[in-house]
Formats: sequence, C-alpha cells, structure tokens
Amino acid sequence: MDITEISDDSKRLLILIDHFSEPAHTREEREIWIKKIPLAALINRGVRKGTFKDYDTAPTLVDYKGTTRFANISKEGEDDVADMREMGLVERLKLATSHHIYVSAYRITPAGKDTVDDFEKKHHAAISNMLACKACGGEVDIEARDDAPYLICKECGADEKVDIFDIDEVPYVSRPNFTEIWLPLD
Amino acid sequence: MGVDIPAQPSGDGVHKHVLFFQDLKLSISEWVPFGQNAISTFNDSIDSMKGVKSSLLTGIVDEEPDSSKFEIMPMFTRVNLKDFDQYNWVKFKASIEYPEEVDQIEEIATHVDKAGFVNYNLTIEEVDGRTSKFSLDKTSYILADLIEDTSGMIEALLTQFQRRSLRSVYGPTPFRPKFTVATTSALLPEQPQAEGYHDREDQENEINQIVSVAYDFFDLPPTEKVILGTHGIIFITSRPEHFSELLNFYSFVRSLQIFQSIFFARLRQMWDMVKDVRKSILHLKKEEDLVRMEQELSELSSNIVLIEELSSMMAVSSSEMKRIWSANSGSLDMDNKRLADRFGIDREILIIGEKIKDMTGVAGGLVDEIGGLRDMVQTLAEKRMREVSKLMADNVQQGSEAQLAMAANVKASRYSGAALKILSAISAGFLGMKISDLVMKGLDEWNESDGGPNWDLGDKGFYGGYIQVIVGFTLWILMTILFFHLIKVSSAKMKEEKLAKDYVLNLRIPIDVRSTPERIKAYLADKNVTYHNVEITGHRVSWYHKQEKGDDKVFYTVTLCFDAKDGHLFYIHANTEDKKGDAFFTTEWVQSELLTSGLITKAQDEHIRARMGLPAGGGEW
Repeated sequence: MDITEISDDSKRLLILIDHFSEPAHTREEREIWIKKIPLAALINRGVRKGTFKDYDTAPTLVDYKGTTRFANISKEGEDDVADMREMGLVERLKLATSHHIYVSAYRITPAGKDTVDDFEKKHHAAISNMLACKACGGEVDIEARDDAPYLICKECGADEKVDIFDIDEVPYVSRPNFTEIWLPLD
Repeated sequence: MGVDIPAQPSGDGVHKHVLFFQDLKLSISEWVPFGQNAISTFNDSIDSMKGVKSSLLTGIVDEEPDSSKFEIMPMFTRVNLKDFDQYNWVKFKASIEYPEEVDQIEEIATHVDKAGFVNYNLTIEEVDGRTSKFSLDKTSYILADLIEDTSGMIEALLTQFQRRSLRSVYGPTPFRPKFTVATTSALLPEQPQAEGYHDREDQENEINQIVSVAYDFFDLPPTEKVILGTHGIIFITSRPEHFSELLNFYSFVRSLQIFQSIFFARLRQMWDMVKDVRKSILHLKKEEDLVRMEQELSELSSNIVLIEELSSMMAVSSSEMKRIWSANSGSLDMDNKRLADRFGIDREILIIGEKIKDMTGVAGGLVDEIGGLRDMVQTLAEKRMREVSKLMADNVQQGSEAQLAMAANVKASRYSGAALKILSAISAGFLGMKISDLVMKGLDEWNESDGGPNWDLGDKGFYGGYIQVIVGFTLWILMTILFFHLIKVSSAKMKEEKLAKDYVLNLRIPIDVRSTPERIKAYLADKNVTYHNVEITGHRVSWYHKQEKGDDKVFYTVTLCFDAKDGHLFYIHANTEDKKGDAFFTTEWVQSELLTSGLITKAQDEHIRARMGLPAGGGEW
C-alpha cells in the first residue's frame, strides 16, 4: 500500500498511535510504546463512538494480565497497523511477559510523525474528541487495571472503563451433530 | 472483494457483515488429560453400564462429606449418553441446565476418549432469526459463547485431579483456547478459488475472526476449498461427512499442540519462579523469609507433580495418536489423502512426540531444581534451629548460674539479717548496762552530796547493788526493743525506695478469642511493628506504644500473639518501666483498644476481665 492510499480510518489510527507513543531521538532518551491490548481498547472505543467508520470488532482470545479472556478486537485495526508497519510508519516490538506469553507493543516512527503532521485537521479533531474526558473535556491517558483498561483524565483525574471485555450475545439455535471419529484402540 | 452488504448498526457499535456461511456445522476441540482410568471413572459417574441414559453432573466439590444435606446453585451439566466403551471413549449429548430455562440454549454432541481428545459438535440452525447465510461476524460471537460454555460443561464431568491439572496450566479461566472447524457448503459471496478470500482486507479480516490468523488458502479439487488458520479451519464442501474423520483427527492433533504451547509457557514461568526463590535463598535476610520460601517451594512442588503427570499423559496421548493414525491412514481415499498431506499430519505427529520429550526433560530438570532448593531451605532451617537451640542452652545455663548466685545472695542476706539482729540485741544490752552504770553512779553521787538525802544504803549504794540489776536489765530490754524497731522501719523504707526505683510491669492479658485474620491485619496496620516472629505456636508481633495518662505519657512495649491463619488471638503482653503504668491502668487501655478495633466483643471483654479477677466494664477500678 502507498501512503497516498491511506484510508481515513488508518490516518486516525496513526494519529492515535502517535498520541500514545514517542520514538527516541538520541541514545540517552527513553522511548514510549503502547501495548497491544490498550491500543485495541482505544480502537474499540473509537469504533463504538463512530471515530473509525469502517472498523468493527469481534471477540478474540487475548492474554490480559496473565489471564486468558475474550476481548472485542478490531481485525481491521490490526490489519491497518500491519499495513502501516510495511509502510514504515509504525514499528512493532515483540516482548515476552512474565507469563511467557508474547505481546506486541507499537510505536510511531519519525516518518510516521511527519506523515501525521500532514493529515487533515478533521482527523486530528476526531481523535481529540474521542480521547476527551467525559467530565471536563481534558486529555486522557490509558491505564491497564486488573478488570479492564481505563481512560484517566490527566486534568481532573476522572476515570472511564473501556468495555473491551464485554462480549455481545448473539441468539442462535443449534442441534447436536455426531460425526465419525477414529476411536482409540485397546 | 465481498458482496456489497451495507454495515448494519448493532447495539452500541457497528458490525460489518462481509462474508456469510451458507449453512454451518461447528466442531470445537480441546485436549484434556484423560487416560483409561478417567474414562472408566467418567462412565461410572454417568452410570453407563447400568443403562442410565440421562445424568446431571456438577463440578462443585462437596467440602463437607459427613453432612447429610448439600446446598448448591442450580447450574448443572446434563449428559444424555449415546454410546460408550467402558475404558476407551464416551459419546453423549451435553447441555448446561438452569431450572428457570424452558428452552435449552444449546445441546452439544460431545466425544471424549482416553487419548484426551474432547470434541464438541453442533449444527447451527438459526442465528438471530435467520436460518441460512450466517454472517462470519455473528458466528465469531457464537464461537466465543461456545468456547466458554463448553469449558464449564466439561469441567463438571472431570475429576478433581483433571480440574486441578487444567487450572495449573490455564489458570482459573473458563476461556481455554480451542481448535475450531467451521464446515459450510458455501462461503458467500463465493470465490472461484480459496485464494480469492485471501484479500488482506475485509474478507480476510472476517475469516481471521473465526480461525485467528489464516495462513493457508487452498483448493482441494474437485469442489472443496480450505482456509487454514492458527486456531481453526473453514472447510467449504458439499460432502462434510466424507472428510469428517480426517478433520476430527486433525483437530485432535491441533488441540494437543495448542495445549502443548500453553503448557510449555507455564513450564518456563515456573522456571522463573524457581529462579526467584533461588535468589531469595542466597540473599536470605529475615527468618520469616525462610517460612515464605518453604511455602512457595511446597506450592511449586505440588504444581510440578501435576506438570509431570500431564507430561506423561501427553506422551501416552501422543502414542495413541500415532496408533490411531497408523490404523486409519492407510485406508484414506485420494481426497482425504491429499488433504492429510496438505495438513502435513505425519510431520505434525512426529513433532508433537519430539516436543513432549523436550518438555519431559524440562519438567524433570524443574523437579530436580525444586528438590535441590527444598534441600537448601531445609539445611538453612536446620542451621537456624541449631543456632536457636544453642542460644537457648546458653540462656538456660546463664539463667541457672544467675539463679544459683541469687540463691547464695538470698541465703547470705538471710544470715546477715539474723547476725544484725543478734548484734543489735548485744549492742542494746551493752548500751542498757552502760546507761544503768551512769545512772547508778549519778544517784550515788547525788545521795552523798551536801544537799542530797544521805540515805544509808549499806556498802554498795545504788551502783553495784540490786537496784542497778533491776534498772539495768529493764533498760537492756527497752533498748533492744527500740533497736529492733528502728532496724525494721529503716529496712522497710529502703525496700520501698528500691521498689520504686526498679519498677517493671510485665502484664500478660490472656485473650484466647477467635477473631478474623483480616481484623488482626487491620489492627496491626497502624502499629509500627518492630519485631515479627513466626513460631510454631503462631505469630508474635511487637511494637512501641505511648499511652496518655493525664498530662503524662506512659511508654509500653506491646506484644500480640496470634494465629494468622484462623485469626485466633492468644494473648497480649504489655511491658512498662514507668510506675504510672500500673496493672489496672494498663489493662484498661489495652482492653478498650481491642474492643474499639473489633478484635473482641463486649461480652468477651467482660469474660477476659472476669478471668483476670477484675471488675466488668473497667473504668471504675
């Protein structure tokens, strides 16, 4: 994919990653990366608020704080992150947790930062609006708490749970289906 | 690109529907440690041999086997037996049953065999009111529901050992990863070739919702299309029965692989824990660390027993897998053979066996390491015990010497007391005699003087006569009594002064009350604990305390002894060298503090006071 072909959702996703990550410019500086589940939680919020027009979410098994759970993850979001990695706008770091599960973390690249600067103001505004604190309109940060990720307002301290683990119910009817299975022998 | 179906708003978000299953059969598989004994036990529990067709089962454990009644939340797994072999396998319909549910939510065909292969199979007849063309997006929600429900359902059928084994690998979660096969006659909108779905966009994103990460899209001429993913398959065929045996066997292979990868992660995690314990042992600081480490190692040991057992069960399962494959692979038709080749089943089975060998080695190393660490902790504990014993022996010896010295002092003191009394009696006698001499001589001088009476008292006069004997003896008695009295008064005063100077209160209040560990923890939270020792009899915690008394403050050292596990308070000890802190005052504030913090009740407060022989209520001593 070419940079000129970036969709509106991808642009907003890159702005979002830019908001929560920072590359180092010298060896002494520390970098900031955003982990996959908090990023997925933010995308989930964006989908629910209509910030990402063409994304949807589906239940996916994830490891959250050492426990396997279903989370509403956007495959389109994952796919766009992969495309932007190919374009050199985003870097991904794979790291092992203390539970020996591999998790991903993402960071915008310097090229990605330049690209973000060129995006139309409406996309920046959409992300700012998505991240605005419900109570005071201030800027929020994301914090992974035991039950779920939370948005914490940097100004008033108000917190808001991101319902990434609340899976919708779909009604269905089924019947048991016995199929042929090779059986173990004596 | 998919069919142009507009995104449909749903609830609080937007769900896209790009691909649809024309019809849908779902097969969900997992590996659970079974073995022949567990199958046999399972057959017993559902009375297979007695011909009973329907049973209710639960995973809840009866913690009070001696009681006559049993209370339980009414959520059970109903099992309707279809077929079984006493030692090798069972097939049944299973459903989760709630009393208020009129319609069963789902009934699932379940297969369980001794190799650990557990397969749940169902045909989807209706989704959200539709009887065909089920969207992949909605199917992903059904799968999430099934993965959770089947975990709970099968847990009710497992032995306690199997449940513990699963928990030791997955942790306490109902969301165990499983391998899914979604079989459909057509994936709409249809693509001429499976590769057509590999668009890296909307279609593939929806496929990934079902199979996690799709990595192989291939056709199986003449009509079948296959999409293979890390946690599932989408199999497009008009003749599902033709491939069901192979697909089920492949599900068995993949589900064991999924279990293996999580099992191996757990092994590595245990290695890290062992590494941490080793580090702590080498840098041991406090005695209580030793107790904590023993507990950690004991927990690790109990987990490693399960891990070893699981390792050997996986090895047995892998052998069974090979046997089943050898017995059946030769009779596969050309279509199934091509599919098996594409899946690379021969290679996968081989790799499973190799991985199990590796894991057995790693688990064995872990067992040795934990054993070594336990020995280290044991040696440290013994060394510490020897040190404590030596210290105690030294203390006892010193104590004995001190007691002997004290006894000698007391004896000497008694002798010197008696000697002092004899000496004072003799002195009083001498003094009395001397005084009578002087008085008699004075009387003689006064009698013979010019102004005196000049009585004729014979040769002796007053001095040396019988009068002097009477007066002298009387004076001796009086002086002795006076001396004894003076000695008694002065020694009582000295004793009083000494006691006032060396005042020490050692007050032990016997509590012997059952509270809760949480309350004790809360009570100690604001104490500045300076000493915490874990002993066989319980925890002993000490801190300094300042208690106001009028304008003054009395300083105490307080020690609380309790059992941290069941929250039993044994006693509280309050020491002070300040004579203002008398026993009544001290008992009063200690009891009222325990009462206020909720560690004892009013009735218990009164009971403790009564045992100490103090008035109930306190305050008015």
